[in-house]
Amino acid sequence: MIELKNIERYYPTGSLKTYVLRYVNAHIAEGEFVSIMGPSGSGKSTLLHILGMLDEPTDGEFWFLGEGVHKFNERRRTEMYREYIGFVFQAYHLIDDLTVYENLETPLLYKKVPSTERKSRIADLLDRFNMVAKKDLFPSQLSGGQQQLVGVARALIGRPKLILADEPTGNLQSPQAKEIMEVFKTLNREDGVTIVQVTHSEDNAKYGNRILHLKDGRVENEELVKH
Amino acid sequence: MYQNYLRFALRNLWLQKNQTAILVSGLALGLATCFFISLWVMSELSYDSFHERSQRIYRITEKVWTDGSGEYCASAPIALGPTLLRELPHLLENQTRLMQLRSSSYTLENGAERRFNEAKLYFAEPGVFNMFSFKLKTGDPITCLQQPNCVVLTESASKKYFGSADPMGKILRFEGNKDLTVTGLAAETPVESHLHFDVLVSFSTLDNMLTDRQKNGFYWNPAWTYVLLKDNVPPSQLEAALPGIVQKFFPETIRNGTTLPIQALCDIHLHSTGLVGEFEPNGNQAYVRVFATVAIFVLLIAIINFINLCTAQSIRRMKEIGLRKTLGAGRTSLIVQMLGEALLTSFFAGLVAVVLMAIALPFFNDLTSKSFALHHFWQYGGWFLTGTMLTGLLAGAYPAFYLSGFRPAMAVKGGRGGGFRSRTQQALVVVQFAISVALIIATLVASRQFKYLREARLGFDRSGVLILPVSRCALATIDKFDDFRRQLLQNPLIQNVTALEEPLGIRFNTGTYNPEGIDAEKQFARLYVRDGFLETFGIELASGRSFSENRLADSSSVIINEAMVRHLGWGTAENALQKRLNKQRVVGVAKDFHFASLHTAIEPLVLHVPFNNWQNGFFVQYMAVRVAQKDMPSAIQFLQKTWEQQVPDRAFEYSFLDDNHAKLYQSEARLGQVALIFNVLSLLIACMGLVGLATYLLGQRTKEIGVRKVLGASVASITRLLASDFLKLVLIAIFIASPVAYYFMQRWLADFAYRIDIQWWMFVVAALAAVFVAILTVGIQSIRAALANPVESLRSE
Ligand SMILES: Nc1ncnc2c1ncn2[C@@H]1O[C@H](COP(=O)(O)OP(=O)(O)OP(=O)(O)O)[C@@H](O)[C@H]1O
Ligand SMILES: [Mg+2]
Repeated sequence: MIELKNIERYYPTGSLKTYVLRYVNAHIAEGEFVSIMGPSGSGKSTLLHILGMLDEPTDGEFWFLGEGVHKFNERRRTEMYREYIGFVFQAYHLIDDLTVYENLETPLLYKKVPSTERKSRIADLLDRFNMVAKKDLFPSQLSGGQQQLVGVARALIGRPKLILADEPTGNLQSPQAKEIMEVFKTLNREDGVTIVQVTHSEDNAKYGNRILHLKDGRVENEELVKH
Repeated sequence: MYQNYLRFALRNLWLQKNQTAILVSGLALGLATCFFISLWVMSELSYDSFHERSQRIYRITEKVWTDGSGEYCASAPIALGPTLLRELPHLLENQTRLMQLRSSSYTLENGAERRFNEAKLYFAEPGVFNMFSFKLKTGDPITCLQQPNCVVLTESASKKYFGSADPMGKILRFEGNKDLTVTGLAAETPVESHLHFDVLVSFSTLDNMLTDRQKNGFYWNPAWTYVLLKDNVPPSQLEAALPGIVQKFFPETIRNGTTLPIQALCDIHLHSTGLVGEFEPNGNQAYVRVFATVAIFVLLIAIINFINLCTAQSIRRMKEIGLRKTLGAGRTSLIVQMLGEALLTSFFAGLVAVVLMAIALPFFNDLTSKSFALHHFWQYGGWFLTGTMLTGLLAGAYPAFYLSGFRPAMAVKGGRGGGFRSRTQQALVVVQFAISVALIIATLVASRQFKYLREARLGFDRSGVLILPVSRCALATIDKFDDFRRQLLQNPLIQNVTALEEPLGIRFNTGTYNPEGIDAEKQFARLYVRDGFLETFGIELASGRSFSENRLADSSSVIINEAMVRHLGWGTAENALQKRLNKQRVVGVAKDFHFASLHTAIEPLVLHVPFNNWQNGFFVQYMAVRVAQKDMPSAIQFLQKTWEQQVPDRAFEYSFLDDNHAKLYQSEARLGQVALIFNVLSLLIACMGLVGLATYLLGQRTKEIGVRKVLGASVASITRLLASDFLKLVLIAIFIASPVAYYFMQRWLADFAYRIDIQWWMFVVAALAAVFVAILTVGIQSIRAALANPVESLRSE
């Protein structure tokens, strides 16, 4: 599904180039559950942004479903977001002016999901994350952890084929975190959803079938998880 | 989807109440102001276009000019109209003349109780109703002004004389010596007409009132003459034919200096500067241009404001936009959403503007003495709606297209490239402020100039002088006048009495002269006066003496002004004494005074005294009385009593010379007021923009402010930090605006013969005003932000 060849990403700092990612090669097949680990600043979020087409590599090739992402135009990317990709941000990033309910509804509106179906899907997810009572609140009225839950729920609601999650449980207590990992695992096992997550927790990483270790912008090693 | 957008948009507007209020009211004010000014400009531009044949009607004016002096007059010789029609049948379809005898008003009466002096009475040919399109309510447009001694009244005039009774066929007595039959009832003349009449007397009535020489000569030019070109005849053909007419008919003395410029009917109102002998003061295209510019600028400020605030708001929404993209929003849908929101806001602004205009309409009419009604709104409603929507689109376009093109990573990683540091935003703030600063400077200059025109030293003292029309009444003979004067002067409240041809400073006539030492005839401004003239008006002599009470001694004397001495190259004022004009001796040289309007430079002038009754009756039309200012009411009472005893045939009527002058500069005074009001409005709009922007931008920095406070920054240091950002922009704006304003106002002033100098303090005042407003608004906002509890601001991020 995903093929990265010599991906590089640098930021110009003065006349120098600061490399955040360098010579990243990776292959992620459909149905995989991959965890990315590494110290702070090692480029994990940057890599995930590139996978999510939020950011572009300054060099290298990125193939998605056999197509070159560098050839994607705005329209095609929009299509990708509607049909394939669900993104969980490290900083949650909910739309401030919309309620919890509306935040969950927005992707469905763009996907043109009919109204009754929207309602049932949202009700279902709210229920699953214990957020029914909060559905009419605005993000600023939620705790950090609650916002994160909504962020995850929003990524799931469009039933994407690929979930990109940047520390989806960073602000959650372990039982809640565990629950989310279980949800991911189920989606991965039963619906064949491909998942790429960034995490600092060894335990969470073990839910996946493979771990990429990043350091200073390079893939230091790859480890298969034995179940 | 779209109803969701609508819902979000409405909620957004509601959630941002303060911002929305500023956004909507700023644009509404701008739209209303611009629309009002446009109404005024349209009205000025539409003068006389209500005549169905306005495109084919031309006025023939007469210009007699030799060596840089002479007369350019709106009227022409009486015989010219019919002569043209006879000589140029292939070009002209019809002609119409209007005229007044040498008088400012005529007495009409229907019994002694219903006696009034009519100033807007004209002798007119039938063409008024069948060539022009003035409306006749009753009566026949072809015949009502054909026979001698016919009169047509407007409805309001008819009400004065006949109450609600039908006036048709009734009799009105004219100047106590002629009976006129009412043959028509006319509608009031529209505001947008260069000619407004109350009473029209048939032109043929003049037949036995004028001598043959007056009727058939080509020297005296009292008739406003209009011609109707045949279909498809270009005016250039008429222009080409007129010099031939001059050569063929005009007297030899003026033939070579005379031209007959033609004016398209619709050009008369705005393009008649320099013409004397108009019906009433015309408009001025310089003002129209100024106001059109002001309208554009005010709208521009409002639009820039709106764009600025919309952009500022959308930068706040950069994150939202980025997020929406990752959730599958297409670029089109984002553009539609943002444009939609801007359109919605501008639509609200349009609604508010309409309400504002409806409320302000009476004041506006009062201010401009026009008569706009609500239906004008509908007439131009399409324009208004288009303008409003265009503004919305324009305001929404920048954020919509610019922000929707952002890559989401930029947005979700925290709005880099947005905020106050954005160059575009800064530029917009600078432009907005520069426009308001320039407008302040322009208003200061314009209002000073108008004030100067109203108050300038005229070279004579106009306060406390009463003007009374005396032509063709009992006082028209020299002895009777002197008698009357002696009686008046017995009362110490009456200080001086004289008589003159035209009210001083308002109108004048010209005469032909042959100055000593020059072998040519020249046209000069001329004024017949009675002795006591210089004294009554407090005009100083540069040399020589004033006219003496013994009129026989001065029957061949003239007094000239300094401009004449210079014009003829006679050296000093002393030198000019004893020189001759038309064999008449110069006995005095008066210091220059503004005998004409301040719009024009002081020209050479000759003062005469009439030497016989005929001259007196013909040339001396007004009595001027200087009364003691300490007790005006009793002076006027005394004057009236004496008048009613001595002059029973004419209603007592007077005006103050300074009032007449005020009227002359009324349009300036009014425009000064209008300009001031619009300026205050534009400044207000600019301020609202600044407040909005400051509020918003500080809102963006709440987190920074909170953090700084947690780190120990004082309120003062934070306020200083925030305010200095703004002040820099305002200062740049001042530096841009000042030279631009200077350049344009200098050019505008060049249109006036007498003008003020642009002074440095005007720039300082404008700059201070702008800086003050900026400091005040930003200061208040900064202090508010700085005083807020840091926990609040940190949490909201
Ligand atoms: N706009 C930028 N300009 C310059 N450097 C940047 C920019 N954005 C990110 N970086 C650098 O890229 C590097 C990687 O950032 P990234 O967010 O990918 O780290 P991370 O691995 O996700 O860290 P963490 O675990 O703390 O989230 C960091 O060193 C950061 O300083
Ligand atoms: Mg990260």
